[in-house]
Amino acid sequence: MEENRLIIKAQNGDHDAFKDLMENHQAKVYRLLLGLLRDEHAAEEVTVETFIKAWRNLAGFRQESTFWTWLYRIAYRAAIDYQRRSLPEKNLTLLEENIVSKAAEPLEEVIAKDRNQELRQALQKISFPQRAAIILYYFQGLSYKEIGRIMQRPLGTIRADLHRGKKRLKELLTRQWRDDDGKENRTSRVGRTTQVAERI
Amino acid sequence: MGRKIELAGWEEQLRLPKEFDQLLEELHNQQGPDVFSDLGLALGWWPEPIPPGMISKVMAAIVEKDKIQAQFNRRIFRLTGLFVTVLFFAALNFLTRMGTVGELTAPLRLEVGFFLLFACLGVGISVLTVSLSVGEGVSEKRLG
Repeated sequence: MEENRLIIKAQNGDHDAFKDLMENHQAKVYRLLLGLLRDEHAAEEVTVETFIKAWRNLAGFRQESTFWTWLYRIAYRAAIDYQRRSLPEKNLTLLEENIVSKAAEPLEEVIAKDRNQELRQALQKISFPQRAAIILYYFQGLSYKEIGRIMQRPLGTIRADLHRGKKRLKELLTRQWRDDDGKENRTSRVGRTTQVAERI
Repeated sequence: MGRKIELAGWEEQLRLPKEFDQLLEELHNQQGPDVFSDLGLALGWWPEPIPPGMISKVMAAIVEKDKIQAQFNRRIFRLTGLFVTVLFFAALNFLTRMGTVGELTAPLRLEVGFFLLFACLGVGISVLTVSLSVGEGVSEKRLG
C-alpha cells in the first residue's frame, strides 16, 4: 500500500518518493547485479543505470507486476547491455580488482570467501542466461513465472536454461574437485566441509 | 532443511547427483530476494554490503538529465515555432501567386521548388519526431 502510494507520487515527478523507493530496493537490485556480473564496480554502475532508466520509464509502469520484478527486468537488460559493451576488457579488469580487493580484506574474510570461490567461479563460467536463471531461481527463490517476466523469455526456455545451467555447474564443480584432489590433501577438504556444516 | 544435508556439508552433497538436485531445490525453497538462508550463506550468497552514495549518484544524474531534456525541449519548441512561421509565410506568399500559376516564371518556379523542399523537410522532421516518441512509447510499454 505504502509502496503504491510512493510509486504514484514518483510517477507524478516526486523526487523524494523515488528516493524512498530506491532506498527500499537498491540492496536487492545491487546484489542481483553483483551475482550476475561478479564485479562490484560493474554492479554499482549498472545499479545506478537501472534506477535512472526506472525513473525515465516510471510513467509506463502500470503495476501489472510487483515493483521489484519490474526493476529486476530493467536491471537484467542493463546487465546484458553492460556485458555487451565491456566484454573484451572485462577479464583483465576483474583480475586486477580481485588482487586489490583481496589484499585489502582481513584474513578471516579472505578465508571465508575462498571457501565459496569454487561455486562462484563455476557460476562465472556458465553462459549469461543460464547464470541468470540459476541465480534468480535458486539464490533468489523466484518462480518460473517471475523469472520469465524478468528475462522476457518463455517458461520452457527458462526451464531449459536452468536444466542446462545446473548440468554445466555440476560438471564444472566435479572437474574442479577432481583437479583439486590431485593437488591438495583430501583431509583439508573434509575439515573445510565440517566448518561449513557447522555454520549451517 | 533436512538433517542429512546439515550434517554432511554442502560440498559432499554436491558430489552426489541426487543430493545435488535436492540441495539446490532446498536452496530455492529457503531463499528470497531479501532472504539469506544459512544454506545460501554457506553456498556463497551473502548479503554483500551496498556501496555508499548510490542514491545521490542516481538523483544527481536524474536532475542533470531532466535539465538537459528541458533545454532540448525548449530548443526544439523554438525551432519548430520558427520553422512553422516561415513555412506559413512562404505558403501565404505562394498562394497569393497561385492565380497566375499558368504563367510561372523561372524565378517563381525556383521559389516553388524551395517551398516544396522546405515542406518536405518539415514533413520529414515531423515524421522523425513522431517515430521517436512512438519508439519511446513502445520501449516504455515493454518495460511496463
